[in-house]
Amino acid sequence: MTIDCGAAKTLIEKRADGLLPPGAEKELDAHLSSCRECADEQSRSIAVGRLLRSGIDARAVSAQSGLDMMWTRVRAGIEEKKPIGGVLSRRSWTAFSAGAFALILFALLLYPAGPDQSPFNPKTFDVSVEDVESDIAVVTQLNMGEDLPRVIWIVEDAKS
Amino acid sequence: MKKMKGKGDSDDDLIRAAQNGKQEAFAELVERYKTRAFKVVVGIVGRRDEALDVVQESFVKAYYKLGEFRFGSNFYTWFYRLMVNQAIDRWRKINRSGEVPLDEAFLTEYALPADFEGHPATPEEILMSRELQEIIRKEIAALPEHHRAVILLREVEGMTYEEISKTLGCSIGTIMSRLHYAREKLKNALGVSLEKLT
Amino acid sequence: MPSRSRGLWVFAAFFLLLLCGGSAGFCLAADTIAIDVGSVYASNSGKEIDPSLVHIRGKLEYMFDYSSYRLLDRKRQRLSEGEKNDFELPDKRSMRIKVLFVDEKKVRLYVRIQEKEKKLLGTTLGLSRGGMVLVGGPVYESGVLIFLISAD
Repeated sequence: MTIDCGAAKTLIEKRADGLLPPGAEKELDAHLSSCRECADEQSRSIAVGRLLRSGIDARAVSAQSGLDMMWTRVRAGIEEKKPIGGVLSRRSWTAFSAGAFALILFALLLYPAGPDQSPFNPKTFDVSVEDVESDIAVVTQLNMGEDLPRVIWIVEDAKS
Repeated sequence: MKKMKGKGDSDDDLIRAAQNGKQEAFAELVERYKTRAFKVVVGIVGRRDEALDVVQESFVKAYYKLGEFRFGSNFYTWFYRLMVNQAIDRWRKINRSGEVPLDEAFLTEYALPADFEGHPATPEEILMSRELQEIIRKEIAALPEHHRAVILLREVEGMTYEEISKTLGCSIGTIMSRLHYAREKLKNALGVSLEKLT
Repeated sequence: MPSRSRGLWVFAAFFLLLLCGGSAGFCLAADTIAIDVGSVYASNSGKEIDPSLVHIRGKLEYMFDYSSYRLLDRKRQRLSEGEKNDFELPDKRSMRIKVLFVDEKKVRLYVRIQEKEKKLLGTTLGLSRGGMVLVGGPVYESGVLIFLISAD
């Protein structure tokens, strides 16, 4: 069974993750042997992984002396962070968590039930509009400052 | 459950011993995972010294959270979750401070093109490889931090989708989507330059 | 463990759950976003301002010249990255929203409004969580529709 480029690109990614279904390898290789574009895609996919790994490996090599000292550093950190005076007593823990539970319950009871009943209350109007297109209308953007919502306005040709 | 080669004890045995106060057991866990941990963290924070700090802090934090570890689950996914969070926090701090998250020292580090391991590379090949790696490094740094973590855990650490999903607490669908996005970004950035090398 | 202490430890566990959010936000909440689409009929017929628009009433009155703003419909859907949803709009229009990216601070959406078979609008937006954008202009009865798109 022959596969198209779209299917081949999906299989290339699966191959990179060792997830090629049984039988798909032959189909993919057959396609790659006759499709330059997909063959290049596979090369790029392999190269990305190799470059990433080799670059990271090189950084690990340069950090070897720091890594050799890692346990010394960790042990120093453990000593530094040792709690003073032991953990909280069971009584104070349970009192603390009982109080927290009551607070959560209280908040839940007051929280407006269901999004349809609560007002629209945006925290921010920070918006970026990357692109705008329309088949049948003229579209403009209105940006009146950060305290006002960004507006995308559609002017329908035949109706407005 | 992954079992590392080396000293025979499993991760679970070492954790139990560490929970019982045996610091040398935790030292063994540090030895097992420090290099792998560093490789993921340095990809996220972009700087060697910061990465070493993050790895150290992560191990210290893990030591004091060992009581929360659930036996039967994987130590390294549990630890990596904690560590990736620390790395992301550190990267954000670096980014907020306006410092360039590029480790200038790396420019002098020698990284052979992976295809040429064991074979002498020409100066041109070495230069091209370093240029490509610089492109990769800049592109990785430009990725959103969550996409960066996913591609590093997959490509560098070799985690499966499921392991990444457990480590990062995201659905496998999200993992696949972010991985695809990150790979496309890197492939596009390399573009024509790659054709000269591959 | 005695049952009284066990009960108290359940309270403690509940509170610890709250604290274990993780500072980098890789928990499930950062993975999804609630998209809220409100369809508002803006016109000069009357002086009605829907109570659910109370927080943005001043802004609407400042930006537009309409005297009446009525909320016709409101739909909310929680979506993950990569997911899309079709929201039905008044007058046989529909809005498709696809989540291109989401994290604990921001979201990127592709929004397409269809009118019958034609694309009335296609746009890619980046919003902060808790943010809102307005898309308005389609003619409706004696006024226009303004769609409030929020992401939380």
